[in-house]
Amino acid sequence: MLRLTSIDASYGRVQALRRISLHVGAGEIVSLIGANGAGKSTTLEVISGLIRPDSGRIVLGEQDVTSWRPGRLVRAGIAHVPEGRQVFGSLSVEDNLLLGAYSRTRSSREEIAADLQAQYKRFPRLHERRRQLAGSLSGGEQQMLALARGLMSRPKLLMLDEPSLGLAPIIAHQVLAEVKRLRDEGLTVLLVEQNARAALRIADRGYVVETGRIVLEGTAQDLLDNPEVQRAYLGRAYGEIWE
Amino acid sequence: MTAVQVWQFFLSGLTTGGTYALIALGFSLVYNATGVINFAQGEFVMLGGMITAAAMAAWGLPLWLAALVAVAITTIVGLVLDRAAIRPARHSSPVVLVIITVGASIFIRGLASIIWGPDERPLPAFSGDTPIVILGATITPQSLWVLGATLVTALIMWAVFEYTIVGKAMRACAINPPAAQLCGIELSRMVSWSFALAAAIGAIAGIVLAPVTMAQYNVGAMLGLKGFCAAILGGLGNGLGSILGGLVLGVLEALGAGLISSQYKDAIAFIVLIAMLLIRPSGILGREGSDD
Ligand SMILES: Nc1ncnc2c1ncn2[C@@H]1O[C@H](COP(=O)(O)OP(=O)(O)OP(=O)(O)O)[C@@H](O)[C@H]1O
Ligand SMILES: [Mg+2]
Repeated sequence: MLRLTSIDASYGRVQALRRISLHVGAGEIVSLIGANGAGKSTTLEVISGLIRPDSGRIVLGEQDVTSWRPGRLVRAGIAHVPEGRQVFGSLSVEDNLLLGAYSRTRSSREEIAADLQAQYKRFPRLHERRRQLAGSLSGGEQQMLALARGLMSRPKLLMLDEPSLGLAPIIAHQVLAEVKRLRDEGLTVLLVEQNARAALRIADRGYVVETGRIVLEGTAQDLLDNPEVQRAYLGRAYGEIWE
Repeated sequence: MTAVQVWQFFLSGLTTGGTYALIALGFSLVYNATGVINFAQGEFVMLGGMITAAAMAAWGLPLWLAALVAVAITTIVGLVLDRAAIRPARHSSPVVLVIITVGASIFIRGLASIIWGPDERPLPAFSGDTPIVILGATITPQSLWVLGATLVTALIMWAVFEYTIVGKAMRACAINPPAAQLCGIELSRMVSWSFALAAAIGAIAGIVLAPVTMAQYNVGAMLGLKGFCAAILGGLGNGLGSILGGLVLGVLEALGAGLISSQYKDAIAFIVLIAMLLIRPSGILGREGSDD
């Protein structure tokens, strides 16, 4: 479904990604794990078009989408739920969701209204708070809103950047359970998480990113069993929360 | 000074204030979309009045049609300004972009003086000159036109931003541009919209004001500065604040001119601007450290 070949990207003179190659198959959850500043968010930003790669190729389905603008990539089926949620705080919950469907110029009003109801059914909290300003929601609710906003574009590929960041463990668990459910409904997911154990628990495959490079890849189980990964990313402290 | 006199100054202040409010709204629109203070905003006001006057004189168009033509042409000028001057430099720092708008305003003013010459152009009042007496003070029908235009424009803008998806998309761009892009909103298109709206609103202000002050190629600079003061006063980027800022500034000016001396009328706006920047830089309605 998605394939990155040898992507380089930089912020000014700082090179953030070096020859990143990865692929995500249809119906998979693929997880990207790595420490702070490893380049996970940058990888997602390159895929969603927020950052242009210096070199390399991005192919979605059969199409070369390298250097497409974000709007075109959304219409092509890529939804990127950014790190830190980034909801539109001074707009209502419902307006945030409707803006999620902004790219769907070919959908009728009724179709979008039906999808809105579907999101409310998935996240009843959002329905309760639909008239409230998004900025007044709790962290967990904002994450649900960001996720639902992404889904409103009817994506084929959903990219999530640290959806559990800053959430209480039980809420984080619910969010990741929802991600798994979405995959079971047929969505393809690229999941970035600092909480490697939680991510690998629901993922099919994973990549480990270190200082802008992919240093390890494999099935989620292989990575969970890998002593290097255990030492660097699966400290007991995390583990206990997630047992 | 009697109460009636104060009331009189207040009423005439509201009239000029209405114009300032519309100009301030134009500043806020472009500022929200681009982070840039568009110092060519005053020239849109000048164009509104000048084109209307010229279209009536040269082509014999009726007022309403000449006004429509003026709004349309000014809107196109706004779009061209965006495409030709702002967009090619969009990766530059805001300071560079602001200087580009200053250059554009000088260019538009120069062009206007070449096309229409240096003379003042009168525009007839829309519905006569018979003053209306309200509680002892008089107000011209044209003043009511100015206030009406302000009110209607403000209401339309409010409806656009509150109820249309394009309006909400423009707000989303102002709040969080990357997140807006991830929703599929094209930032450059929203910037075009904001320039078009700002130009149209500026033209409307210029058209209703022209019968009061006359149209001339060089009225844009001062009006633009007054509108800018009003925008800062109300909180740059805040729509309701812009309207309030405009009305408050107009009233302060009129009262100041009446109570102190009309020589200081223009100075008052700048005193207000400096005071505001010192005391409360975020404006009357701006929140401190706000993100939108
Ligand atoms: N806007 C920016 N300007 C300059 N450098 C940046 C910028 N954003 C990120 N970087 C640098 O790029 C590198 C990769 O950052 P990135 O945000 O992709 O890391 P990450 O893996 O997502 O980290 P985190 O877990 O903290 O979110 C880091 O070295 C970071 O300092
Ligand atoms: Mg990150």
